[in-house]
Amino acid sequence: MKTQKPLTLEQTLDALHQSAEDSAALDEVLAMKSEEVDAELAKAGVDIDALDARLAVREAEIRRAHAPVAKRRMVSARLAASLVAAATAIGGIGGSLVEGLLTASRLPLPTYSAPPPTAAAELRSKGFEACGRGRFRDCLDDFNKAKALDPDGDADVEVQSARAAAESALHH
Amino acid sequence: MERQNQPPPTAKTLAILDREWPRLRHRLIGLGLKRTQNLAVAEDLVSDTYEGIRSGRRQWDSERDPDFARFAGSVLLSNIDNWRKEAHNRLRDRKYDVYAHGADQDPEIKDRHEDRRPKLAAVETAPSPEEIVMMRELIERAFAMVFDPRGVEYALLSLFKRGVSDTIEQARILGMPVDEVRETIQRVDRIINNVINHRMIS
Repeated sequence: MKTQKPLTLEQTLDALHQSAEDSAALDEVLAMKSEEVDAELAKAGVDIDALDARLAVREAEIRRAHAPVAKRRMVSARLAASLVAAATAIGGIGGSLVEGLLTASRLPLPTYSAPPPTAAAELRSKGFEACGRGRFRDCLDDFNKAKALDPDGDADVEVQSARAAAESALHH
Repeated sequence: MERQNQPPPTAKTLAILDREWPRLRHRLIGLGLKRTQNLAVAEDLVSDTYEGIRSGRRQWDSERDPDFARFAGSVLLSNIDNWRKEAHNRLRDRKYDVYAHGADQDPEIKDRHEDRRPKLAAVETAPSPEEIVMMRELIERAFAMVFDPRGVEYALLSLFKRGVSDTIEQARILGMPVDEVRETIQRVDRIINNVINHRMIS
């Protein structure tokens, strides 16, 4: 932690006052009805639909980034698939050893499903970025191009959420 | 504040986050907008709040702070506090740069200076240096009279004095629920305002 020069009395009281105002603002916003909150946002010039679209995309990206269990499973499945392939290739003792290792680590012998084609994944990534920047038309175009290459990937719940958010923003 | 090897959020936190977030999102944007006056900044800070809770970087202690909405609001206020400090430091560094390299017409500093010009007329009614010294003594005396030096109010004020203005961090250091720290801050602020206003009126 950095050592900081102590604040003066005035600075200390300013910081205290700002913190008290922050707390009062939190109390106020939590006591409001949803309609009142939306009315205040609209009054401040916020386009609620566009706001929701932008936030939905960012939240979808965050959920994807923090889904460690799913990622680990994919890595394990890929690793295990590679081991199975290696076992099949080398056969005999080597193969038994690999199978033994898999059993010992309680990894089920996986049914390997190929990851989506790289080009489609890249297009979807671009699409999420475009949505995040409010370029909803580009976002949908990228998702459509990705769908043409990898139709199954389009059913992903996050792609569907981002699509819905972008379409909603474009129609308002 | 980044923590190495942070534990993931509990299943309960994730379930409540998923359930409550749609209801909270606009409120938090409203709070962020009110306190920063900038929608883009408010969106960034609200997204950071979501990311902090979902990643486990911001851990919810449901025993100590049972209200999830207030917890999420506190995380946002903590992000706002950090944002203010960063903005303050950026401005300070730019000021040093101006001193080092001469008046380089930094637009932000120039604008701020311009903003203050019309207010110079108010200087005539501002308190004199003697009055400021008196006011300071009065506040210090009020503190000594009203608050127990061993009490939480003093401890809180000393944290503010050391630059610890994030309520979550204060609560962690003092071992108190965040809501109790907020209530104490509001109470102390009211008392100080009363002292100042009383002095102004009398």
